[in-house]
Amino acid sequence: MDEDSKLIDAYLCGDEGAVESLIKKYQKEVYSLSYRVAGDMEEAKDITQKALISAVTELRNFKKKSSFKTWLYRITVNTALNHMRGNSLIKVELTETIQSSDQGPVSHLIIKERERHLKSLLASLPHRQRLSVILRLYKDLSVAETAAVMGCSEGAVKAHYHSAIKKLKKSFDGGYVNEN
Amino acid sequence: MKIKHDDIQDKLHDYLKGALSDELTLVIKEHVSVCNECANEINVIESLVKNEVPDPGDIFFSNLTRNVIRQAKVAKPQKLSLWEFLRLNPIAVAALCLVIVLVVYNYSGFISVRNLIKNTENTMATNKISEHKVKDISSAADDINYLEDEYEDTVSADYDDEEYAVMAL
Repeated sequence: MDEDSKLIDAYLCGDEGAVESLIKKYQKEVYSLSYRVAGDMEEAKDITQKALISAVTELRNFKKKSSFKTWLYRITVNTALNHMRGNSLIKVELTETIQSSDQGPVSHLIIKERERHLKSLLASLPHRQRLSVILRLYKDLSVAETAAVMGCSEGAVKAHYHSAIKKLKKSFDGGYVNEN
Repeated sequence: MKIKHDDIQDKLHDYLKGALSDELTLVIKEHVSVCNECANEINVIESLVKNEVPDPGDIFFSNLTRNVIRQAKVAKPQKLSLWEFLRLNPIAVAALCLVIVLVVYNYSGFISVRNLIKNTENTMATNKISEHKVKDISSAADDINYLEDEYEDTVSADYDDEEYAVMAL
């Protein structure tokens, strides 16, 4: 039995310190994932708190079929998507960022500007493509783990990931800007 | 070693992390030097990975745990069913098994003792009945013997008297 399972069992038996350890272990990971999905620090803070509350509340329903980390990431992703769906301000903010970033040719921007541009392009991708990139690149998950978090097949994860990278590559070469 | 272009694209992130074998790293390095598509993909991945997450501050994380635990309690109180409690407590399961064994053992012991007592009582009752029967039979036999003896005595006494009478004549 791994450390997470022991902490979960201890918490379910009434040891509140166990869940405290569990939260402390994963809170930065959850925040980082929330930020990658939401793209805003304040929103990421809200999502982190909501996701962790959901996880603690639903802990007794965790069947241990996957790792706790995968399960927690799935809750975080769902919480983030629900949060963003219910918050139109984020959509406006993202749209504005994309519009402003599309104005100048990418080849003339400095490296930081390229990164910012890529970040906003990443935010503009369909959410499944975006999630596949976030989970694979930023969270270092395998294809199988990414599939478990996204609730789809490994083939679908590969397809989403490659579509996303292809679009980002086009934008990197200036093709994405020209097409739009 | 020959690898397809698509397979190399799948491994570019691991290549950048340095998570591949030396042989595979060399093969991908050679491929990237001649393949613009893969070279561009590496640039994209490197640029994406460079994007850092802003630090929300230690205060946020130090308050987070307390807030989460407090709000999780309000959201849904944890109720542990007996089955879940037993699943999570092997000592409790062992104790429960021991109690069950003791109860079964005592109950079966009680039954066997009760049966023993019952059997003993039945045996004793049977014995008593048998004794009574034997006693009745033996007392009846005694009575018969007694009567027979008495009759014989009487007859012999009568006979003796007659005999005596004859002898006296």
